[in-house]
Amino acid sequence: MNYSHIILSDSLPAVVAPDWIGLVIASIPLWLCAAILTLRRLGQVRSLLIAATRLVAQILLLGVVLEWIFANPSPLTSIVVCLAMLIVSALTVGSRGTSRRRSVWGLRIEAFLAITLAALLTMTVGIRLALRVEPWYATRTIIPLIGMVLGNSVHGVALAAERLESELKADRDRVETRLALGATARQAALPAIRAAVKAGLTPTINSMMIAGVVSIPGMMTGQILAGSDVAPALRYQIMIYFLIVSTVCLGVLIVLRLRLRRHFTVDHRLRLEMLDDHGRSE
Amino acid sequence: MFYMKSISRTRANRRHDWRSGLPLRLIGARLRRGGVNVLDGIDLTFEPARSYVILGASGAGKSSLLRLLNRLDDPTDGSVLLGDESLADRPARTVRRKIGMVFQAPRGLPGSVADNLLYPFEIHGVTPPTDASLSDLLAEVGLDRSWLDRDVSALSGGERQRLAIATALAADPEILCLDEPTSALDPAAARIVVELLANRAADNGLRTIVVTHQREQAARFGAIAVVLERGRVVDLGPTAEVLTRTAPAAWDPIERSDDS
Repeated sequence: MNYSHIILSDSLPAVVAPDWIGLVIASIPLWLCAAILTLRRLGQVRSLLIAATRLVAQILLLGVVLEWIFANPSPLTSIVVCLAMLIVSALTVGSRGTSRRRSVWGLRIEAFLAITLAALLTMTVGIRLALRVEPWYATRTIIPLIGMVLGNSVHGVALAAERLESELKADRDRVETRLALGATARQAALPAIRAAVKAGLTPTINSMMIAGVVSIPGMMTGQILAGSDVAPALRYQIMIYFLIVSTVCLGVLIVLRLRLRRHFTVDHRLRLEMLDDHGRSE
Repeated sequence: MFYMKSISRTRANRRHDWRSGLPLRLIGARLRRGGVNVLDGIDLTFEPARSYVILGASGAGKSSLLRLLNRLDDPTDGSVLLGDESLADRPARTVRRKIGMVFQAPRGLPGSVADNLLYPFEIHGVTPPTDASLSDLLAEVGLDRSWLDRDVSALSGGERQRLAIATALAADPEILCLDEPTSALDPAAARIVVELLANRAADNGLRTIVVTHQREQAARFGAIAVVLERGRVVDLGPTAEVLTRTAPAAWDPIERSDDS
């Protein structure tokens, strides 16, 4: 037998990680699934294989990038990598199903601003005050943390922005009824804003609700597999959830505020041209 | 008689109280939407102490005209003046408090009947009226006095229409624009609305501008009729005279199919 995948060290318990042959073996169920899908003509085989290939390529690339970054820690590397991650995550907002190209770019810029501001605040608290890592640009800490925070908050921000628009569209007449009675833009849009906040926060709140009961969070799992004690791993996980949920919440609030400025004029008029249909004939 | 502490007489708004009896004028008002001139150079004066009715086929620009008066839209060209002052120079919210608007086929705001009636007070942070005076308001539009707690979703189209009128009146506007206010009402309920607006005009100086397709209602809603066609004013005068010289075919048949 080949025991080379078991790494022994003096201070840590044995860390088990799959070797390359192990990965090939682990892919067997995947091939099995692909075979069944093909034989039964159920489709999705192409997407499945493309996704698997992309996953491998992207993760390998990430590995190369991370190796390089960790080998060259500097404030500049940390900032550039964080910015790049922020930009990429903002680009994923609005990539599905919106027909208006012009407004998609507006949305992406606003999503970028919202996520950047929110993450800056929460990451400062997390890294400077809670973890107290030195130096402040400690790439090994910052980059994985911000990656996890962004992955969640982008989703929430996108959902909230989408929901705001669909609510305003569906409730256009009520929004204008409120405006006509003298409501401010904010007052008139309040039910839509509330629905958008709910849409943005619900996935994160749900995952917090079931964390540790139905699911064992990925980060904690990773640390435990990597040989860490349970106690620090769970403290880390709790901190991450605090950072994620506050980043999502702040990001959603900021993006909604920015969106409202686009949907209404300064004198509290709903901009019908921002909603796809142009409404009634008169 | 119904009495409610009006929003206009409280606090900061006192400065803006312009129950002034000033004419409301459109000068060369043009409204462009989706590359089309929905309103194409409207020159029109709504004199004080008169009620107006706006007639015209679907797509003639009737609703768009009302939206300009309430500042839900600002004209692309031209201006809307109250007296000598452009509405665009006043805060939109002040304008809307004074120039109210009841939309076509209103759904009502989610919640109870009372929630709807209280909304104008809520948004302006004004002490709300008592339930008794809200009930009076319901009675005034011909709805049951005891319906304050009823959910809006339980109301029919015609009941919602009257609730919307009551809500707009709760804000105590000087001028009220109504878009097809009786389209969902039976003749008896329509008569109540017509009488209510006439009473308000007599007691309270309320001025109304009503958009309607219904020729038979036109004379009762307004002393003066304005006929729009493709975003332009094509006729203006005493309603009875305008009706005799405008062929019914000009708007009636097209409108009915479009009403939904």
